[in-house]
Amino acid sequence: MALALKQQSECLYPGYMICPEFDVVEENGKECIIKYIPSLGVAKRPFSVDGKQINVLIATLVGNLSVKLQEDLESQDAEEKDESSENSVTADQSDDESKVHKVYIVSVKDEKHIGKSVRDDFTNNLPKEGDIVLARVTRISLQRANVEILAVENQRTPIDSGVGSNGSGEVAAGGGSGAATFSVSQVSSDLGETFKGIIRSQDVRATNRDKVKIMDSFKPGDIVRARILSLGDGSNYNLTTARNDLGVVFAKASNGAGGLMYAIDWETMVAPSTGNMELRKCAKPFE
Amino acid sequence: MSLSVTEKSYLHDSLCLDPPARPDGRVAHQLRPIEIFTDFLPACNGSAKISASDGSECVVSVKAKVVERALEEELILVDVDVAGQRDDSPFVHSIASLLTKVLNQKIHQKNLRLTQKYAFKLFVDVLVLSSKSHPLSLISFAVYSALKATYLPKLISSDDDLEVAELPTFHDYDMVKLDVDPPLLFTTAVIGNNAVIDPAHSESEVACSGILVTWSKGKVTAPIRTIGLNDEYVTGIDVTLLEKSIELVEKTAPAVVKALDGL
Amino acid sequence: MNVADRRRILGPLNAKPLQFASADGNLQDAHLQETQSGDETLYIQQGIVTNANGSAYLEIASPTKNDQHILLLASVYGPRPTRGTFSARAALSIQFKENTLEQFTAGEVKELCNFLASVFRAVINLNRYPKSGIDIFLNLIQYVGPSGTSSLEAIIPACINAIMLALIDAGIETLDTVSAGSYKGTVISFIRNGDEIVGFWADNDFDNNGSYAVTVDKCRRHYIQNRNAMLDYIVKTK
Repeated sequence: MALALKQQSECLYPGYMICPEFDVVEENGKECIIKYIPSLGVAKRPFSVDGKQINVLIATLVGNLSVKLQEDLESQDAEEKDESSENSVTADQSDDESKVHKVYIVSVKDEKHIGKSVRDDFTNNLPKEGDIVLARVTRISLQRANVEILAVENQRTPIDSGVGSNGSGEVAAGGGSGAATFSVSQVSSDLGETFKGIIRSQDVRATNRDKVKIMDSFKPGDIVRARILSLGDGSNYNLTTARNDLGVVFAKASNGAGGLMYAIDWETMVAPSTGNMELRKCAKPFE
Repeated sequence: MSLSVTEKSYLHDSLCLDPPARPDGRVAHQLRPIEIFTDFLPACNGSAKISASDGSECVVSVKAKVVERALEEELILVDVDVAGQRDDSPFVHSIASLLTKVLNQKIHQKNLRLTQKYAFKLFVDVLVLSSKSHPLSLISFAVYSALKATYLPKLISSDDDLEVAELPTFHDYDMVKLDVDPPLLFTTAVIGNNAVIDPAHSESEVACSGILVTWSKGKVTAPIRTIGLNDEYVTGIDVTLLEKSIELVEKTAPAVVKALDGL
Repeated sequence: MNVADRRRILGPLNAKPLQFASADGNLQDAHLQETQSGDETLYIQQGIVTNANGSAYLEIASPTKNDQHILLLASVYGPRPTRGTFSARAALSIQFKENTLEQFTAGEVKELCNFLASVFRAVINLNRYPKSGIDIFLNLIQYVGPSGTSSLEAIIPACINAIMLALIDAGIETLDTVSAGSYKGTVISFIRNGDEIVGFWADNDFDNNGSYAVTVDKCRRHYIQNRNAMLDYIVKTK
């Protein structure tokens, strides 16, 4: 495949045209339709060629090309085929079988990151649906626990995650980009600007969801491993801990006055120095 | 009023057609109907109130003050206040700065000269009462009408005061009409391969780019600038479309000037 | 000194002033580059503001334009979280500050920021950053215009180039390598090899120096020079 040859040989830059969205190649005597899906560092833009609009994948970051065959797409492909056969005529069907469909995911990666499982570039790894994050509980109420997201698992925190977290940042007069959505007086006065989240009491445990008491699950200051349910509203992500491996990972006894505690079962933690037990929604400590 | 994604997509597609199908049924070079009253503020030297068909309204007043020419760099100062916008917002600031610059550039200082030493300084206060679309061209029409309807006190002392130091004295009630030719600012929106003049709010929301074109003394002049009308649909535009926008203004502007002068 | 100074709060008597270890001036990992693009000499350095997500320092000297001289620093902060209503795209703000001599009025500076923001709204892939804000700060360290004059048109191309390099350094996705070219007071910012315009700023009439087509063509040439110099630098320092 021509595109694969380009891989890692050339330095791409924003605006570099990588390939059209769809391509047709001959493979073992069969016609093979290839679809390229833009991923990190790649965007799909319309271009007009001879008066015809086609979608082209372009690079949006500086780095090297990386193309991956998407394996688990058979089911989706099948669905698409079903739709097309339902909607259109059956004449193409014999033709369709001789064609091979392939889907590639195209991304642009910095050389530094190739071969690393942990990407230490936060900018393009904002918390998104399905990500596992570490968060600190800031406030609890009967219905929910408010948390601030500290890190996305397997990803680095941003260099400038805000004023205070890394020395003083620069603050724009009039609120900068934030002024577009909120008034300056609403800026929180706490140190650092982090993405905030909410864990509703229904999302704490997978079982007996209605009986969960936030008080018996989290305390302010606890470090919680949680999964992002949705982007939420303007200020909060929606998080969940309803899984065995999610929940409190670090907690201090007596509202932070005591030492670190250890989980002894799904809902209890013990402080080794005093033997006191406290209720928490614990994460499964071992894989 | 904000539009839904579907509404925006529908608008964008219909405006991309050839010729563009504008939501209010105008052709590409047609402006919205406007209504202008002049000279309705008794305490000002000149005033104008403009209302557009979408309910946008703008009031402009012109006041004059006698200043020493040597001390003033700019003889026209524009102050803009847009309802619903903070006074220090970049949007309001840049409109005021742009208008001040354009008016000082295009209106000759000799029109405001009183004597060798003194001149009138004009304070143009703009109040945008309500505006959905980009208010710049509306403001500029109002400023034009207000300046055209400005009357300044008549000078009765001598106009050569270099030799004898003398403060200018004015006639008690006679006024002289200010003779200036103010510039007009037009906004156009580029959508797909079309350029339309005077975009309404709904059109601005889906425009790829907005262009500001100045018309002064019978021709298109600088400043010409691209302005962001929204932040969702903005993209690059073809080089020819900018020229198309300028042609659009060349086609429309003479009629607008004629209409405004007929007040 | 026997009399205690009561006017200010003093430290203990045996206090010594703080002494900081001297900075070792290690700029090894910052990238340096000097390129000649047309009549101008360009000096680029990325990543010198350690606290920002990305930054670029630009020096432009144009001996042919009466010793015009520009030193400019752009830094990019974010994407950082915004509060308030949900937005599916990032909000963008650009602030411009003159560090030494203040040559432009507050109004002009606002006009410039507005213009630059409209250019970069069309270029940054804002859809990739929901619920976030990107703040860009420009510091004009020095600007000496031809024969002591100052005009915004002269610094706009430098601003656009510096912001673009800072965005690249920050790793923020942009749809194209945007740059700008100027010709006799007209600045045009292009993308897609000069086929499309994202920003147009003319404060002088075309009539005095040729038609629209001529102006666009000259600006495009300057843009290509600028862009190639930037790409050269990016590819070399990679």
